Amino acid sequence: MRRRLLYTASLTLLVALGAAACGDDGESSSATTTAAVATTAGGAATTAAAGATLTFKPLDAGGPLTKAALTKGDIQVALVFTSDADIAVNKWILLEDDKKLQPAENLIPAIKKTADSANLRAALDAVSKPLTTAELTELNRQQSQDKSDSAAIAKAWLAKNKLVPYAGTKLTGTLKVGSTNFGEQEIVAELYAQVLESAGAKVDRKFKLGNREVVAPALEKGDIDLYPEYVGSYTSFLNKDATIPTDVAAAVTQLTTLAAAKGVVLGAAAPAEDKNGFVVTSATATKYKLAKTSDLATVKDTLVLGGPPECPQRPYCAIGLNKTYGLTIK
Amino acid sequence: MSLLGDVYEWMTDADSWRGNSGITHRLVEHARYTATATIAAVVIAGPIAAWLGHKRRFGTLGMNIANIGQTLPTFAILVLVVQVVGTGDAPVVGPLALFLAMTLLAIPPIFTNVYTGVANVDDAYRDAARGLGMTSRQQLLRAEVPIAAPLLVTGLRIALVQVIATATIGAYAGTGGLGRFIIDGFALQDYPQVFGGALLVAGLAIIGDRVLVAVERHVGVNSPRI
Repeated sequence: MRRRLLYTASLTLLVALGAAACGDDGESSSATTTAAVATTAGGAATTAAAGATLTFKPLDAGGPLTKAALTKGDIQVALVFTSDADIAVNKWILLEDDKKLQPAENLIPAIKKTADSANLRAALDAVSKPLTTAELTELNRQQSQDKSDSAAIAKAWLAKNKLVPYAGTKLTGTLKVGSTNFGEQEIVAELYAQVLESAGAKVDRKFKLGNREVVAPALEKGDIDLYPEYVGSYTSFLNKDATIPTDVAAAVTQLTTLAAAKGVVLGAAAPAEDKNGFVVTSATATKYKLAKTSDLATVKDTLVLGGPPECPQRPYCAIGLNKTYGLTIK
Repeated sequence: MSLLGDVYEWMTDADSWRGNSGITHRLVEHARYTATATIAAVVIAGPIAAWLGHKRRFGTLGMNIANIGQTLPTFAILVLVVQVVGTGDAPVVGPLALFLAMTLLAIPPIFTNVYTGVANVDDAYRDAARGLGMTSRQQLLRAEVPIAAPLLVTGLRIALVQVIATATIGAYAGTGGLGRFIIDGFALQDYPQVFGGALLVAGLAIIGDRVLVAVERHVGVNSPRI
């Protein structure tokens, strides 16, 4: 009798738990079903201009979870940072932002006005000119995958681009080159430093000083003479209400005015940008013929987009994909 | 309006409860994640712990192995597991990475309680069971397990409450469940949603705890007294 009561109690519990377990099937599995249906239905290659649908999966801001999900095929499109080393490591395809959704985030040297000279800028501009996003991503890859030292990475790149030995007008005096505290910054600061050294200046390296909140004031005070910045982020830092243009030239013009008020001048912007971008695996790119973000509109299957949880409410993510690219994000 | 007022408003707004990202759906998901992981932990750890307890051997070793699931931070386990299995869903259990991390978390209290409960059954009962001519297996299932029943349920209760609370971190890896309100609310700086989500988790944990306390009392009253 006692045993029977025990059994009844545990059975009731199990049934209750089991009922909860079978209660529903989750959202992603229903997304898979939709995708399967869409595949069968949309076999013919008639291109619909807009109206393609993506399912959103909340993960992290270009972090390990988003990247793992992309590698495992749980998501097909991922929002990551455009110069992320893993793009080069995994040979992912960074979809071109052809309708200019993302604000300009080009690398740009920020220079203390008192340290500025035409010759100094000429040397920095020589570095910026050949530095594309793909080149920067590769430099980041050498750091994160090959574990190379940033000085060695910079040395090899400068030699490859024939920037060292420096052929321009020589510099004199000491320059304090700073950087914020992440890998890419150290590489770029090292590029600046080595070119300046080759130009004859004495360089005092003050790398990894902290985040922008530390480094930008250090530049204004003259604790450092220059460091690598990003057009959009620096603009937001100087004026958080500023709207950042997607066009580099316009963004730089706006930033020049803001920076001048702080006694800071800017070098030429490099083509390289570290901003939000959508990547797909090369297999996905081949399968759906994807090269540009607007190509996503031609995909008949419902792809899964992975990004930070705030994506649905953000212009650089779901809202922009919807307004600028005409995609529906569920 | 005060934060508490906003929380109240969020929780009483019918729109908060509806749809695939509504409270009802998230509650069901959460219950499903927790239930499946806890059941899996019972199935894995229960029989082994009971048998080792019956033999009164390898208890320390077993508990140390089982404790791996609690020693490593669950968040670290989750991120590691995602690197291996991805963020996809498995049938029945839902997000596989979360399921594995939660099962690991639920195993230690179940193992410890089952082992301790069975191993500490008074020698008099064990002798009596043997004296009745019971086989080793019968001794375990008919004498030791019923006597140890309240302790076994205690292990289940601790595991369940821990899993209900911790399953929220699954939301970081794209799962559903009540953690979504906390993670998404935080990302959007929608704090009423964060607190509302936290309250729901706490509520669910308390309900799970009370139900199993009741079961514990029941099996305690109805099992042989020591």
